[in-house]
Amino acid sequence: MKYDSMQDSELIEKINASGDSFWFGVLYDRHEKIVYNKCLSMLQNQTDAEDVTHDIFIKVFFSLKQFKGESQFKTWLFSITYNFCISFLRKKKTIPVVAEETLLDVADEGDIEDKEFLDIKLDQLKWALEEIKPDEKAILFMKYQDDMSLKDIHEALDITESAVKMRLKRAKEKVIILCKNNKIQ
Amino acid sequence: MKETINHFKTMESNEQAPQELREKVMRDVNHLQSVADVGDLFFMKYAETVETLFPTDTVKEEGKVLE
Repeated sequence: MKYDSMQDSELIEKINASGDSFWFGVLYDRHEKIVYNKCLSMLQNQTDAEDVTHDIFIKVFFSLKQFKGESQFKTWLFSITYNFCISFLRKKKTIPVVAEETLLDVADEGDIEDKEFLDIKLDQLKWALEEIKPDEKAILFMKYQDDMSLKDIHEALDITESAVKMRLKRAKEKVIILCKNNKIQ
Repeated sequence: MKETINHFKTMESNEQAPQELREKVMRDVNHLQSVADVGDLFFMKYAETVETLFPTDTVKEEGKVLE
């Protein structure tokens, strides 16, 4: 493609300097698919994914001046994407109380092995992810789907690294317990 | 030994976003940019223009007003 050799940072400089939406179109084409699919994974609905993807790119265009290049553009974009999805799901969904109540019975048994967590069957995992809070779902996607580091997650969600670890652990615990208690095995 | 499959990767969708979405985003970006430009022109430049028409002492001292 014509502009493939251009770095994201160069495109952003051009957009900020000229305000020309042509360069934003190039940036859009480069990242649209990943944002759209992330929204699809999080929201599980095509129309919602399209609406949120639209809002994310509008937000990105008007926030580009705030992007200082301290993190990679993709990490910054993921941060906006996940926060928009979390916010959308919070407005849309009624979070089942069962997940919180179930967790009250959980004893702190230290770190959960990834193997136990990843051994959960696909159908059960899909179901459980719809039962937990949107921010818990997001943090699991960041870690296990996007392979984001703790540092990147902490930057994306604007929480400390220890809070990231704690939230990851709690999210995994919830999913495991929900799946154990789920009658449809 | 049984290999563990990361189902999060299995769940990752790989669809193409609709072309209409791009058109809508670009149309709205251009529209909102125009609105922002007009706002900028009014709120930022307006004050400057008024100040040159009715100069304050500070502006006079700075020699910004043409005699």
